[in-house]
Amino acid sequence: MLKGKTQWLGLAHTKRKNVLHGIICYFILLFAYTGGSKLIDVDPLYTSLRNTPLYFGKPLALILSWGLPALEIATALSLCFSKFRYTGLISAGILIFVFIMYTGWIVIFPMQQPCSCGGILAEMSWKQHFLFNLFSEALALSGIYLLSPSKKLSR
Amino acid sequence: MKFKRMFLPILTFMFAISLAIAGNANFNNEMDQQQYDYADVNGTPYQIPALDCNEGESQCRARIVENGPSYDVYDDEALSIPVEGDGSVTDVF
Repeated sequence: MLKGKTQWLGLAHTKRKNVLHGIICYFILLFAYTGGSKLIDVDPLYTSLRNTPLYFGKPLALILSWGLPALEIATALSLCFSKFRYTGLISAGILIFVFIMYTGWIVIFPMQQPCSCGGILAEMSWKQHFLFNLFSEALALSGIYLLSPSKKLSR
Repeated sequence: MKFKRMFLPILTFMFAISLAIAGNANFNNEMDQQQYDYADVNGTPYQIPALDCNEGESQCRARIVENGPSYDVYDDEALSIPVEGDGSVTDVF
């Protein structure tokens, strides 16, 4: 009986580990791709930031157009190494939250929606982008919960 | 085991970067000029899908907000090459 219960708990533990690894690979793919795309061609992001209803000035738009992709790449890299995975997941959660605020603002105030031309993710409408960000945030929170010290899952 | 734990994430990272390079490499600026135009919104280039303004010598104009003002349209982000056509106003919202 005890052996069966231990086996079942072990299986649940393995499943949780697999889910966690799936979430980590998802965010590595997401942030490395989007960060890399933005760094290769900075102009569309700069133009998009200048055209948002948030009225970014030129200096701030310039800083964000370089800083944001760099942060995304750093987050993807930190997720690759077990020592920094927890930090990477928290960083992913914060980044996605900021994107939710940004896309949410544009969805709620559609008076001047910046053109989201270019890139695979930009094939979506702003509403779809907003829902995608919500889904990603749920994954990030799940990953943080699974990797939290109390869960004792392997990092 | 430690090597396996790191191998898959790093492989995923390299795959994503390769995807980004393959999907976004733009060696020809003319491609951008063909795909997008730019509306001159108070001196700031506003990227819009490329317009078809028919034949003509008048500058094309675009409206980016419903019932809003129309703006001159250019072929490049530097707002130096005007898009010429019949001078019609195109809604791009």
